[in-house]
Amino acid sequence: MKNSILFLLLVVLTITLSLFLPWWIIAPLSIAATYFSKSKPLSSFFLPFSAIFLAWLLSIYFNNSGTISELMGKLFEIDGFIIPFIASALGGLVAGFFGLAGSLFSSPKKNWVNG
Amino acid sequence: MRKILGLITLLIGLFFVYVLNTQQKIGDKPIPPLGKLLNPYSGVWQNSEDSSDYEDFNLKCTHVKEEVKIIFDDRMVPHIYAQNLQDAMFAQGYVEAYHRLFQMDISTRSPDGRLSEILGENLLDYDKKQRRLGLSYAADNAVKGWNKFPEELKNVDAYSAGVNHFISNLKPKDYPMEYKLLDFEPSEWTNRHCALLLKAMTQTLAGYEEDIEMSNALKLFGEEDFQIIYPDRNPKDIPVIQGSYPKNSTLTSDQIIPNSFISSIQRPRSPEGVGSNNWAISGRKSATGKPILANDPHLSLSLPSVWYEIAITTPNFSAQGVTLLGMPGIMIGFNENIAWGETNVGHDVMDYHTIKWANQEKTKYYLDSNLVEAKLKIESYEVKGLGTVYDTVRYTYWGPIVEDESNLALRWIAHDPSPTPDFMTFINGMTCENYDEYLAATATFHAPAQNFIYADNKGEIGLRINGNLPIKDYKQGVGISSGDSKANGWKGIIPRDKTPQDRNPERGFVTSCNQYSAGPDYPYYYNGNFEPYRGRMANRLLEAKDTLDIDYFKAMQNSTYSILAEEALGVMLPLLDSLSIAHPHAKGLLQWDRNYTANSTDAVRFDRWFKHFHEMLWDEVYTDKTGISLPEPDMWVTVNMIQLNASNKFYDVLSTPEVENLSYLVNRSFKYMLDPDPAPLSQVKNAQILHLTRLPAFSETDLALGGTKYSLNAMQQTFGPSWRMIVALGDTPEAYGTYPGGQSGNPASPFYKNRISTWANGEYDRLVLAPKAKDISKSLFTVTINHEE
Repeated sequence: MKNSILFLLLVVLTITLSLFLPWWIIAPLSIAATYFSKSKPLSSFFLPFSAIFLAWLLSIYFNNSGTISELMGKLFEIDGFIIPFIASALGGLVAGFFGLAGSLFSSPKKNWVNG
Repeated sequence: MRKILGLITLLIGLFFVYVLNTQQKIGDKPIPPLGKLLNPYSGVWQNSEDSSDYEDFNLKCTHVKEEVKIIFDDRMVPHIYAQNLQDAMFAQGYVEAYHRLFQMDISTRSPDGRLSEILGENLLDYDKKQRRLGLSYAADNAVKGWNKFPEELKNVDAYSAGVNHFISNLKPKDYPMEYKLLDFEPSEWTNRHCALLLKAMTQTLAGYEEDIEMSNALKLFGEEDFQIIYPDRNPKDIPVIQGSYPKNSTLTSDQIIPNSFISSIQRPRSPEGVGSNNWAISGRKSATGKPILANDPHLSLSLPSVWYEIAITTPNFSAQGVTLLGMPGIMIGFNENIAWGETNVGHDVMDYHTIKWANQEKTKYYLDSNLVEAKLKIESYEVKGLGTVYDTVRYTYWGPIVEDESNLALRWIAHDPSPTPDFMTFINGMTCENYDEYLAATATFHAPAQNFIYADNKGEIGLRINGNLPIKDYKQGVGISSGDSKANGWKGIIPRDKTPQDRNPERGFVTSCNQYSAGPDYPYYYNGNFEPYRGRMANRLLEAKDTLDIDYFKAMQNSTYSILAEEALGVMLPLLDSLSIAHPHAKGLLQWDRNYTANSTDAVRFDRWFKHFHEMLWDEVYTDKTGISLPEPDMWVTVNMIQLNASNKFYDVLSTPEVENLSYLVNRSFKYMLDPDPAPLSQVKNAQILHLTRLPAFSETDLALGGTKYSLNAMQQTFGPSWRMIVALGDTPEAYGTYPGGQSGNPASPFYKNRISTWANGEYDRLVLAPKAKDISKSLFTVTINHEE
């Protein structure tokens, strides 16, 4: 439950904040999300990864991406169809690493309770 | 431990962000900043464009005095409606930046020597060459000249303000995609940028010389042979302006012969010539009873196109046509009453002089037995990825030393400040109603000299060779001349009323296709880069019928007929021996109609045969002369020689003990044509229109085109007709135009290259002049600009 809320929050914040902040705003967003939610390391990578992947992919398709995919495909000499997925995966990877770092920096729950 | 792992992960994340946010290199290949480029919010996705993006919008700005409306018609051509000229110029600057900002940026960086700022070290040598040619210096001089005309300059100020208004309201996400790929930002536009574009045009059109090669040839072959291999003038030529001149005694062949000089400098052979056609017929020769004018400039084809179509209306005039990006006004176009255009004048306006240095540091030189100090100009380059690089250029009385090792100083018309503002020609041209007004408008133009053609609905046609052309002694500037005396310089500029011109000539037409300006008795010496066949073809076709119409003009512009092939084959085919003449390829050439159509294989065979023949004939030039650069003899010299001389010492191949003759050369070179069986012309030509960055993804390479540099449709691999326009004058003008490109510079726009197919098929768009906004039948969107306090 907590993870789904976090996931949705990341998707919504990414889409809204990116409208006026640089693309790498996903890095502080992800690190903050996993730091404060104290996610487990494994999910703290994959949760931001999938949230940002989805946010970017949706945003790209929302931008009417056909011609751009085709042009970028020609430019990088790969099938244009996969360009939006590559783009979204790049964003996802950045988010994933920052998410993982966030969870590693936050103290595990039991220490917090004991301390 | 956890914290250390966390730190490592954080560093990996930061590293990712850094890599994705900056330009990278894999081997030699630059990789754009992928995060910046591919993110959905400010990346390249924001450059997607379709019909839903075409919505009306309003601007407010302090520069415009009254309301301006810009209506984009269904071909994306902006129709500007302004209440005064300067508001119109503001709007022109705005729309050109709106559609072509990256192009304007890159095409001013090229003459300014600033490409390495954005493209890195690979372009540094190119940049240095441009600065050493003095293009940036020339632009500075031009601006100094313009500043003496504050009233006229207001138009350029307004244009620049329009460009800057667009740039200053641009968010990074809206930058043209090339900025995102190359990772740089648009910079402010100044009047100097307009001057740079004029200088780039001068470089393209009047940046031709073979001084070093010609000097070498003169020394190698001696004067007598030199005159045969490299004659000044083709006797078959029909000059732009006919008519005779009083005999002038200043031209005798025993005057100055350039210094003999063998330079060690090797330069690439001059690129395929640029050229253009224009012609106009009087009402008497016209099916409509009123003059018709045609113009098609041939340039290096690129995407976006060098041309931008535009229509400008104020209460005083309504004009339409094309403009060179960054140049206010309309360069080739028409208004309700007149039509105008240009082709290039090939006079040699670029001469080299040897400098005799007085010291080892090369800071002092001798001039008229005085010791003169060279001006040292320190050029600096902010090279991307490398930092600042400095280069010192020596400026002499003549001009800059382009290559330090050569000790040659360049005298070039492009460096001269303009005594009047050139740009006013294309602004005032739009407003003219008769020929006298048009002559006054073009009088302000200096370089590069053009054949300005004119026609109007009152029945006048005219053509004037217009621009600054130096006065020279006989053969002056053919080769290198000594720079130790001012007496070896140009003797001034040919007075404008002495440049050749025609007004309503008896024959009922005027035409220019880059051929000689005037007949051999013209009292001023000139030489240069003149076209031998297109001019004759235009004359032939204009004389062929008494009455001509628009369709005939269209067929002319698309004609692929070669007079060179006609004349050469007329001599070569009859000389084939009985075995060769029976060969199917020879039979094919006998029947070939001398048209370079896209699917012709005969044209390819002929080109192959003639090229081998030409190079065998001139083995004196083409066999290795151990590193001496020599000019290539012109093809017309070969054609004329074989037509006139059955025997000639040049037919002998020097490397064989036997003495060869013409028939031997013809039959021997024929063998080269037999194998292999060629592909059709369009495949051999492999025509392509490359994006300015040469990225294949943004280019058009799938073209099947005919044409040769010697036919009116002078389509070569990358050079060709860049804009074809035909205007029939009348109560309202009936006009047609086509160009290989599209209005938008955005590779993702439906208007990026939508006009190529029409152009490639030899078809035209109808250009409808709309003096009132309601005359535009279909529009995409409207921009309204209002004055802001």
